[in-house]
Amino acid sequence: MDFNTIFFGVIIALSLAIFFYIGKFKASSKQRERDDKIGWGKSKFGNLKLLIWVMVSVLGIALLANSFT
Amino acid sequence: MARHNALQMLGRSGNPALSDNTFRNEGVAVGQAMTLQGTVNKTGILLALLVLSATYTWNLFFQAGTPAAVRPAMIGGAIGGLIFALVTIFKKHWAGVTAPIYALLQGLFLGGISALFESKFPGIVIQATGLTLGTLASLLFLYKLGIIKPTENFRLMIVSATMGIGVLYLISFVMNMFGSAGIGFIHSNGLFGIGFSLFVVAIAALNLVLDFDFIEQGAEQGAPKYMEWFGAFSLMVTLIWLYLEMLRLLAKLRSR
Repeated sequence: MDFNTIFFGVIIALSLAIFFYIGKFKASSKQRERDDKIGWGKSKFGNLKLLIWVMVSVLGIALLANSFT
Repeated sequence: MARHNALQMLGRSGNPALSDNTFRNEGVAVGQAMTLQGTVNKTGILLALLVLSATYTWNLFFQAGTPAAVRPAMIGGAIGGLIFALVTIFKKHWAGVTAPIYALLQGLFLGGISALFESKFPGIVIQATGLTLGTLASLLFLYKLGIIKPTENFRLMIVSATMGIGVLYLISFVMNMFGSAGIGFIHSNGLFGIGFSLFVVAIAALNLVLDFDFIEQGAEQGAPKYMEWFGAFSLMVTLIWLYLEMLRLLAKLRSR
């Protein structure tokens, strides 16, 4: 096993441990009790829905056009 | 009880954005509510499913030794993953079923593309995985401590940049389909190409902060239980994007 594998293997293991351990705790009060928090009133992807439809449509049209050329 | 606690916390926040409008689309949990622990567990499940299917195409590639062997699985995984991602985005309450299918399909694609990169640049996959997960852990740590504070302006900036990158990639893809060279600089290994990749990696990484905030606020406000799957799904979408961009960036650096 080379140094690259060991070094990045350790990073992967540590990162996963940090994610699964810290992830279950609430953020600090400094983070939660702000006045300028994001208002997630709509879906996270709400603003992207229109763009997603446009992109998928363009992709579909391009695929169709490509198959006939 | 969870709902009661969430509403009490909502009252204490003092944030006008966190009124009863927030998460209105999803309602407030009547039975079990979304929790951080639940979302983390579901992210773990999605990651495990992704790795499982990625292992299949990875092994398929190295056994056959030719990209043709994994092409059908990769194309099927990419298109199927896109379809199930769209279904999850538009039908969030189906996320419990569609998000695991999405993870399995994306795993097929990622396993194949990772094997292709690994055959060309040995050791690149573990580097990209380490950098992706290292970014995830670092940003989560900074978010939880309140060092990175996502605001409406922050969201506007990241969403706009993400949309811009998406449109640029789409134009390049469509141009490639019709035989054009596409937008050359975004794929080049020159300084401009590497700078572009660094920018995209930064935007993808900052999307993780938006995911953390979405999950944190969802749990705080007692969103329905299925939003745990949706939160885990949105985290997976960003992680997959970040991983692919890391692979591209490392490949550009190593091909110089």
